[in-house]
Amino acid sequence: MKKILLLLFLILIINVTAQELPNYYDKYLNDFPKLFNSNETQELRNTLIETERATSAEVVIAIVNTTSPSTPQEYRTKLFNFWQIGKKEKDNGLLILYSLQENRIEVETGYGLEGILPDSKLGRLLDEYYVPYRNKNQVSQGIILFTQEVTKIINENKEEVLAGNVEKSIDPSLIVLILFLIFIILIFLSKKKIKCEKDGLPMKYAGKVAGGGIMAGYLIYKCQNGHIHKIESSSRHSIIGGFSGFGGGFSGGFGGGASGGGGVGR
Amino acid sequence: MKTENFFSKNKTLLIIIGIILIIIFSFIGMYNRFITLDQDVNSKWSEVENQYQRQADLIGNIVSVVSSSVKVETNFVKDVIAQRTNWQAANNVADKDKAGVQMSNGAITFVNAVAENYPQLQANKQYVSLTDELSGTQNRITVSRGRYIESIQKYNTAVKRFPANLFASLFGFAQKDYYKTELANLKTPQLGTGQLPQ
Repeated sequence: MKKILLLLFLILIINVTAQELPNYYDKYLNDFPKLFNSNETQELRNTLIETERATSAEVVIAIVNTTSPSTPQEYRTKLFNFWQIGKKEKDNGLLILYSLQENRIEVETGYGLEGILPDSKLGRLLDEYYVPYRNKNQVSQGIILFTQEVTKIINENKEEVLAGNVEKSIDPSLIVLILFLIFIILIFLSKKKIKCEKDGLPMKYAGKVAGGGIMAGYLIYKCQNGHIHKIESSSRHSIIGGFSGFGGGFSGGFGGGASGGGGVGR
Repeated sequence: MKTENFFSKNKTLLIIIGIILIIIFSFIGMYNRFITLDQDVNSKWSEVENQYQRQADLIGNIVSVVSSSVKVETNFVKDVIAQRTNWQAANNVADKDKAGVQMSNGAITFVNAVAENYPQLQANKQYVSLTDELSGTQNRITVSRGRYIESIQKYNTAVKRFPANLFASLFGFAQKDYYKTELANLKTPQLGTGQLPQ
């Protein structure tokens, strides 16, 4: 009983720590406190959907009530990497985060977008398109204008955004694992019992008829009743075929991008 | 009998060879794992160092923009330049990191002093751009340092864990102690965290 309680307690702790960052409900606009009206939401989503379709860049807007206990700057990096915004091989994600209580906007760029959207440029865009509206208490309008400008720049630099550096390496432990699996299969195959086709009794190995090469020819098996069964000696090894690929991915989520803390806030 | 199945005949031998192979491969695997983790620590550190370098460059740029825009006395820029030189002179990871954190502190103090004494610079686009870059760079330093600490922890755990610890010293992989004593306790400061610009 104590153990179960302890386990429940641990699950609770894990959940509590995980809950600090919200899960996304949409790939484009996550407006938790409902800052935008339905028309604005529609407009923003269309812009972001179109940007992703044309350039593969994943621009996400997140509106939260507060970033506490983290600072907005810490929070944007955490949320970006928690949601894994951007395509994995391109890291072309961009997060626009606004927190209501702090009245603070933060923009985090994935590694792949830092080239076309350096911090200074983002800062300038915020000063130009967002800050004047924030000062007039029209935050949502400011965010919309800033988003339009940022997506415009991304669209203008489509080629650079689309080009990712794909690096693939094989984990050495995977090779060991595969060799181990092959070995297990070999052991398993050498143990495999063959049953008589006529009476189902286990058959015993009774010799090999050589046919030229090392593995060519036939293996002779006999059951208790004297039935003889010939197997082409190479066929026992043909079972070790190729491994089928590990399927993966789920649709509807972000592409697994990462950021290194680049970005700017106002 | 010559015609006997190779696998049935030599089953014991195969199992022994297999076990030996597994041992050899797990040795190789362990060795490779240590190498990978060690390289990861190094590459994470070079990312931290890159960001410190970027910060050092930005400090140079900011100081020159400030000096060319407003009349500043040498005393005003003395500290931040000294901290930058200290960072450039440091030549091991621990010193470099400590000097880097001091340099970050110095840069913040300098930028705040500029804001207080020369508020007119807030309208200078070049200056604002550079401080945005500095702020972004300091955030990158925090992130890359965090990842560096994580990679050291991963390495240290791997070196400590049984049975790998028996072979780690054999291969010459020692614990990285710097993390425990100093690195984790040093906090990187950040420019402009959450306050609205006045």
